[in-house]
Amino acid sequence: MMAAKQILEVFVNLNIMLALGCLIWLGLQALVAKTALRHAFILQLAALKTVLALILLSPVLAIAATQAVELFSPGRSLVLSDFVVAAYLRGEIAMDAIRFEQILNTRENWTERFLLMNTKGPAIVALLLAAGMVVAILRLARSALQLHHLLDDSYLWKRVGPVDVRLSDRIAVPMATRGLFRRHVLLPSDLISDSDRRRIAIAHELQHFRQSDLEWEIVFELTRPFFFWNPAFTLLKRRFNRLRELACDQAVVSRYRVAPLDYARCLLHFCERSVGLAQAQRLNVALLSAGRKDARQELANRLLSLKSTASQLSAPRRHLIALACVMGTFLSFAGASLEAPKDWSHDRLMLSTVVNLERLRADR
Amino acid sequence: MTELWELGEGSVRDVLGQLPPSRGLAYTSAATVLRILEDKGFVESRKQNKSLIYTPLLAKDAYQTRSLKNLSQTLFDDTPATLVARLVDDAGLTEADLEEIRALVERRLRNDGG
Repeated sequence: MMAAKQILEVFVNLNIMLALGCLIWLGLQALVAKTALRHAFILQLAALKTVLALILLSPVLAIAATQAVELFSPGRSLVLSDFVVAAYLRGEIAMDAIRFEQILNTRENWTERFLLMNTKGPAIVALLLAAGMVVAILRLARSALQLHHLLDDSYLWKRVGPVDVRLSDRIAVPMATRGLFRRHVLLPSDLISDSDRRRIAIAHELQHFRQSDLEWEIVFELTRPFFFWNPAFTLLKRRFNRLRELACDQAVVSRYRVAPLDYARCLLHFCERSVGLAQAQRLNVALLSAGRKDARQELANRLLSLKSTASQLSAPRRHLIALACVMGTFLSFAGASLEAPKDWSHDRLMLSTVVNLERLRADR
Repeated sequence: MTELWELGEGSVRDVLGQLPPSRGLAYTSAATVLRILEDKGFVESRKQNKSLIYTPLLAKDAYQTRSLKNLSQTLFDDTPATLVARLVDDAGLTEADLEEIRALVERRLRNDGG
């Protein structure tokens, strides 16, 4: 029971940290949009990766923050509810003591009700969460299997260091992926006779490897079963995908000296191919057209942003280090503040006494 | 394949020699195509003076039937939804949308380039 409670608490805390990280990221992006860094997609992608890594590490950071405070200032608590109780006892929160304690213990009560499963509500929530997890795991397994077959059916064209460039009859758009040891660039087989587009496609996919985008894709998919229900996860993943492609385009155009117009034409060529295919397969266009306007805007923005690639290649490291320090400190303390109080502090005993006295008075 | 039927049999260089220069196919690319055709069972190869000589295994009409089957396979894009980074993701765009974007991009990027 204790282990289950701890796991549930880490799970809930991680989800809260994800939501908090997402809000911070949205705020940061709004700020960046007003500065000269708004087109520095490589830097923005590195910043987003820093934020995501810190969110994933937040349970460890929270422990580190608690230990550090214990070491340097023994007896001082970082737990948010301890601060609130102290403020209440100082008379800064005007509320009935019984009601205040109820609010304070909301999370603990919910956790216990959830673990006991003696009512319908928690059982339904647990069932939905488990079903979502299973679906996410099955989806991941299906993708992995599909990928395995796709690679098995492809033809090795070239081997460059740890990267295999392969040709496939079963894809319309070039793509990159990785196995345990090797990385693969998969090209539609007709690209073999189209050297200009092939060069751009390979450069683009190799840049994804350079940016470690595939490793991040794997991290996202492995964590999806735990966060699938959290809108912050979906939003961050969407932002990540967008930045991943924008940063990749920017790096390819600068690094390989591809003319932005040629690059844009190449991307449009593959869009046309996949749209042609999709329309041949699609039974009901109306169902899929809801996000079309956004997708149109997104693609237009992606292609037009190619013109602002100059001098954005080298990401200023000091910006990233500063961001990592500020965010790391903030998330460690935020994480520590969400932890359950370890034992009965003096303030909590006082609050409990006040509550008992109020109950006695009410009974009389 | 067309070049091989005309030649009866031939090496990578023979096939390349038959192709119009406008195709711009490199030697290694032509060799890869022939290797793939061999993997698929369309041609066979034997070694002669350090180079491989390819011979078609299928008659023209049998090849065309199999190619059509192959083409219908490619009508379905088998890319998985996750674990990959695709060059582009269309997300339900139409040809008209793309035409509009193409016109916009040509106008804006061309102006910028020149």
